Amino acid sequence: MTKKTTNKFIRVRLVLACFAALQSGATAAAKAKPTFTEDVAPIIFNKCTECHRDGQAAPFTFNNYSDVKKRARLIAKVTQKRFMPPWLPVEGHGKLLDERRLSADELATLKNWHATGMAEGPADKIPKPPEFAGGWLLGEPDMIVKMPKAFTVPADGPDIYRSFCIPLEIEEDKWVAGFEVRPSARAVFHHVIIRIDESGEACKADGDGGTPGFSGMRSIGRQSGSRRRGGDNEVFSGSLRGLGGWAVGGTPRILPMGLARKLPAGADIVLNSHFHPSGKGEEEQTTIGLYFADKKPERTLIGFQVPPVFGSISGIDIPPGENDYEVTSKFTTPVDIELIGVGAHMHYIGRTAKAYATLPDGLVEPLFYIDDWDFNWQGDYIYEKSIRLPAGTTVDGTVTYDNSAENPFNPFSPPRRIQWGLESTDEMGSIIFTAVPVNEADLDEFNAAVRQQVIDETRLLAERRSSPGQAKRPPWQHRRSPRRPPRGVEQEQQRRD
Amino acid sequence: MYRQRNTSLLAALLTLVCAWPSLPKAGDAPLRITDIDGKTHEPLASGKTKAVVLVFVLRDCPVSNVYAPEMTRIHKEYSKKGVAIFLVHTDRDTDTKAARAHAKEYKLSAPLVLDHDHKLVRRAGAVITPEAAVFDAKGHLVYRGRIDNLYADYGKKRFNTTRHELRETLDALLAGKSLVKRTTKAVGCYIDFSNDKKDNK
Repeated sequence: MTKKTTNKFIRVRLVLACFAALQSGATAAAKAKPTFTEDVAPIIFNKCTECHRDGQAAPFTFNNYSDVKKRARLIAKVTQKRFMPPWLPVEGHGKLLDERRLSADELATLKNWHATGMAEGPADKIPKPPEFAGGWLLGEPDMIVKMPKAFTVPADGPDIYRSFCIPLEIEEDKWVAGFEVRPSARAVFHHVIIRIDESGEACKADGDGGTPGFSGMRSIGRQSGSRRRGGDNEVFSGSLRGLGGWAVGGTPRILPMGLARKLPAGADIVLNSHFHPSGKGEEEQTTIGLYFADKKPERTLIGFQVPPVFGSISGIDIPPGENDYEVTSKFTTPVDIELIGVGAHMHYIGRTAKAYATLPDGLVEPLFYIDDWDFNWQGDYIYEKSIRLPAGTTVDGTVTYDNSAENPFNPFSPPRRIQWGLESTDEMGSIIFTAVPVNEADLDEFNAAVRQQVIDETRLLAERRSSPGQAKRPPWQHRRSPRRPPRGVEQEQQRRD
Repeated sequence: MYRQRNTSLLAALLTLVCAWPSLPKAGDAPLRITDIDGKTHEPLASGKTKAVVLVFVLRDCPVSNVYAPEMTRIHKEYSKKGVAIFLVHTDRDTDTKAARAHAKEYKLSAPLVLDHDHKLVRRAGAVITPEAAVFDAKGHLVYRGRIDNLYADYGKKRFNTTRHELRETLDALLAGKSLVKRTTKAVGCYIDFSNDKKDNK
């Protein structure tokens, strides 16, 4: 990457940042000399204290002036870098529930407060510190399940990605409308994807070698039971990625519109959990509270992904050193649908994930964008309002990867060829949508299209493999020359501030 | 003749200017460190200690705590080789009891120091926790910065640590190399100077 290109990139970013600031209506510009009680406390109490308080996962408690003053410089720094509050989706690409992103004004307020000496302000102006309900945030769960055995997270060493099976023994199908994750070791537990396994294989694999759990994501697509029964179930229930994901700081939610995800009789729950060693040994025994819908929902939730099936049939094969490897895919809906939620899944070297819809009239609607993927903050997002896509709409998805040595998250030093696989050091890649047909009568057609997308993608992959030397690239995948600086270059820039 | 005298004068001045920053500042006492047991160490006084390491830590800083096992490994490996290592708490709210409890929790082995008035912090020029400062046998600061490059940035923990600057500095000193001061940027939590007295800033 040449210096010139880097500068150009930064200029573009600056322009974009200014544009974003204008767009977000930053008319009430941040005060030059903010005070804690008038300006800073409202931001901290609303956006930070939920996690930064006693008993929660985040370090430091932010309950009062002295707590916050002591960390003012760090707060200014990590908010400027948008490391905190953790929120990966970019503004303007689908309005999501529980957004924790700070506005340009809020960022400036925190920065100015530190720069001007952290004045306290009039005592009577302080907002009431937030109160947080103890116990389950959504009320008493209908079912509480827990990992049978605790897993020991060592004091030191690389991050751990491990799966755990929780046998359920439920005798009838249940409909899960929401869940809450309660880790026992909050300092080390970072994120989890909750999957469903009907094959029994996950619980069999659990505990191999005497340690609770097993490595990799073996429960993907193993929901053959629902497929066999067919009819009222989603075709590829693996696309729904089980019950969903949760990362530290995420707000538990009941699905809108009376929707729920099916938990079939006899199924087991599989947790794909991600841990960060914290400097001391910790024991994790995760508890999950499940909230059931009273009855089978009137509308059926369908999962579809671009690329489909976590990228497993898109020929992901990333050469070492490649810092902008791109995989694209599309899905066209034959019926009117409503998008309910969205998320992305990649592993360590994932870089960006972007999706947009092209409506039949040519209108383009941005749906989702993460411009700096971080394996640590995988959330499941629910749209604030469901997004209606008329029949004939195409959803385009693009995921990119950085397999260069400059990517600090690269699991290999020096970089190696990385292909699709179940282990965390392999790669996956997809943007995952949950949707319902507008008319329940269109369910079968919607399902058939999701199935067809998988068939088409498989056929394209086979065609490409049978003619590897072909000059004409398949339309859905191509590598390009680097167009953005690798992670390291951006960091050098940031260091100068 | 004149010209030569001028040249020597210039050279002398230049030498003075160049050497100035490395001369001990007025009132810069020899390294004297009092640990939480009240014991005062003057590690360089005996002439046997080859290097002194201060690692500035913060009890509730997650990055600082992640380094606990590595700090203990470094202490165990290098104290045998004539390196004196101290863990220096920078936070005024960390008292003796809290520092001891923290060391027990994270299995820290090196002697603990409370630096509430930030004398050692200023001596080393530290601003972050965890941040290491290495003084050579003459008491000159030869390194200040990160322990290693585990963190590329906030939240960007590397899969593979590729540089180990603290260990590299100590290995070089133990190999008898003469080092000039080097600094790197540490990633972690800022030391809180907001309560320091004005004249201390």
